[in-house]
Amino acid sequence: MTDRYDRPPTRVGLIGCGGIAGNHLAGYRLVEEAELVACCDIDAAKAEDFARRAGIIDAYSDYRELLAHDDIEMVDICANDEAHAEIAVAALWAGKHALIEKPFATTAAQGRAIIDAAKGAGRLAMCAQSLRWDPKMRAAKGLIDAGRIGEPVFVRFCQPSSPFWCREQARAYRDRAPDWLLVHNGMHSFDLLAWLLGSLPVRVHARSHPGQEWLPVHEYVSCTIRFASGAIAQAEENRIMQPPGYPFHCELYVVGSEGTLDLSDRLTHAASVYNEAGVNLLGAHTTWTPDQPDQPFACEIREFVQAIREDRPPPIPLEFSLTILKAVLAAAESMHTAEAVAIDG
Amino acid sequence: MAEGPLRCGIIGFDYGHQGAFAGSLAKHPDTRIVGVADLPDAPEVARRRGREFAAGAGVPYFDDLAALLDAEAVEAVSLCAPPTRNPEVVAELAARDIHVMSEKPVAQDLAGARRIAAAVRGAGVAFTFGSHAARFATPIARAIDAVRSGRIGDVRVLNATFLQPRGPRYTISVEEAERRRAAGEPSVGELANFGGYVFLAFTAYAGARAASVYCESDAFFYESYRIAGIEDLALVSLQYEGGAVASAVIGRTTTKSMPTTDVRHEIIGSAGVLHVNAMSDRAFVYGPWRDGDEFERGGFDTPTFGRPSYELYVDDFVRAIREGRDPELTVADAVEFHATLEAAYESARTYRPVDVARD
Repeated sequence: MTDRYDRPPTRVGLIGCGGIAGNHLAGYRLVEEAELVACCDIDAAKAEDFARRAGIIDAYSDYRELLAHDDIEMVDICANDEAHAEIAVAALWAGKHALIEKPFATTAAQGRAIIDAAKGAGRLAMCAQSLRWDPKMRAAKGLIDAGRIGEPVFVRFCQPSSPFWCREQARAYRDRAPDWLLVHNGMHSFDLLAWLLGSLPVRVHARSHPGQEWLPVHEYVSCTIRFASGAIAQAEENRIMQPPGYPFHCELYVVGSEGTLDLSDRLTHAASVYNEAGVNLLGAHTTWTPDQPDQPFACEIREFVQAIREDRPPPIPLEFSLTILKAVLAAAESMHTAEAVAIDG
Repeated sequence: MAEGPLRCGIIGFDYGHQGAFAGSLAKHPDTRIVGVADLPDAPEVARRRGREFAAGAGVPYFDDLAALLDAEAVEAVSLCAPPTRNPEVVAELAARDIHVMSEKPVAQDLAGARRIAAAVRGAGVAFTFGSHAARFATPIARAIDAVRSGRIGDVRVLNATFLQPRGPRYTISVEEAERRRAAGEPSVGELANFGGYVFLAFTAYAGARAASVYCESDAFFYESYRIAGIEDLALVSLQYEGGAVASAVIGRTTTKSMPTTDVRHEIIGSAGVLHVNAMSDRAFVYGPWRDGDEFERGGFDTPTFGRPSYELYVDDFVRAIREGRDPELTVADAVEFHATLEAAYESARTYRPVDVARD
């Protein structure tokens, strides 16, 4: 298969075959500019199973073996959070472009090392932020940028859900820190808010609730964030909903100087805009279609691959993501100290 | 206590809510309005409303509260005076063994709320205050009952939205804000105005007191609020004794087309989740806006399916007096609210979480 430039697809090796890798696989099936050719997981059986599902032959249990293949141009890193930085730096120095699942690193120093490696090797690296390609969020961004609610001054974003860890997974989660959920998912929330507001966070305060007592990870964290624009926001990391089965969904509520955007209707998936012109609420709905949950991943992959193929910067600069990571880590610090933390931009 | 209906005085029409409170007292089967009065320095707009209400009720109007109290045997009052004046007024009323139903916020600061508490406790009179929606709005009252009965287990997380569209409050025009600033008179921000609706519901859900508060706030929308140095929007994060955590966005926006105030509560428990949209039990009626001040506006109406919260609040006050019990919203709640509010304001100034003061 070739793309519009009549070039063969970019050859991709995926590293880390559990969890979110399934969504990435579904995304690759929709991206003609990319071809998944190899995979890797420290659990060889998991890698082989993923290879079967992906219809590929090369499955590895050591990412260095995958990186040794010169015909692989790009890696998609879906491994555990703690392994992202090591794999990314190695991949970049091996001459691969790197799409890295969030959080792309777990410390600011690791994030800086990845940026340095990308610059030194002349390769692209990007933190995966699929929410930016969620149709609902794109609709919200479009409405905000079009000035439909004036200057945004307050945002509330949350993705409530029941815990997706069960007692059988206790071994996997028992060594996690209380802030693991915040660091793992917070980059989604903080990146989305900064993107929607067009402004970077400058101060954050976090509170948490442990939820289930047997689990060290706190299942609920609420962050109060001040942005450089002056806007304030609440970002919630929520896996505390009981009983199990609470439907995972996004809620977004944006108050602007001239109107309000309410995307919190879990039944109709509709966005309501209240502004000077929107007296009739029913006439002001923007709907989205929730039947293609993997589409955001496809869009994210496609735009990164196109940046590689067109030799231009990735859609989300890694320097931007490093600032977001610092904000998330500041929130984690706040969670531990109970103090508000200024964010080092 | 005198036989017959409770003899009620109406004091102050500085705030539009007095119309609802006084109206509810007027039609209550166990009360009788005996007079209307203002404080000696009340603005003319308040006096005009007071005179109109008195004329409608067929009772005398007094320019001075003291004249009413000297002329009539008042047993209870509905008080809607500036919060800076309330402590002295409540003390005067309590000294005369008069029960008080006060508009919120009951005072300008925690010290004022404590002076009120000392006065009413010392006199043994009933005292309640106008954060009625926190306990008497039907959806919230039912949610509190459900949570208290254990329907969702132990309360872990609370979230709330309380955003009222349209503003500014008519008492905070640019001219009034400039006058107050020049005179050194404090104004009341929207966290003080609306915060009781949220914090007092949170207290009921959590069955515990707020221990620590973090707050980010600003005057985002209104120039007059900037002049007055008060907030029109606040995001508050609270830690409750017992471990529950809470967040609330509270304020007044400029969104002109929202049908009415947006009031939503989310109570997350160990065994379930409860969502409340407190405005969803209302019908929205739209109509043309009329000129004039906010007290007289009639651009929309939100009739409830059931008794409005202010009527239930007034009824609770009257019954509490008759039954010799505390009202649902007590003076202790007022002090608790002001302690939380004061911590929030200090946090907004210092960018630090602040412990809620205890007596």
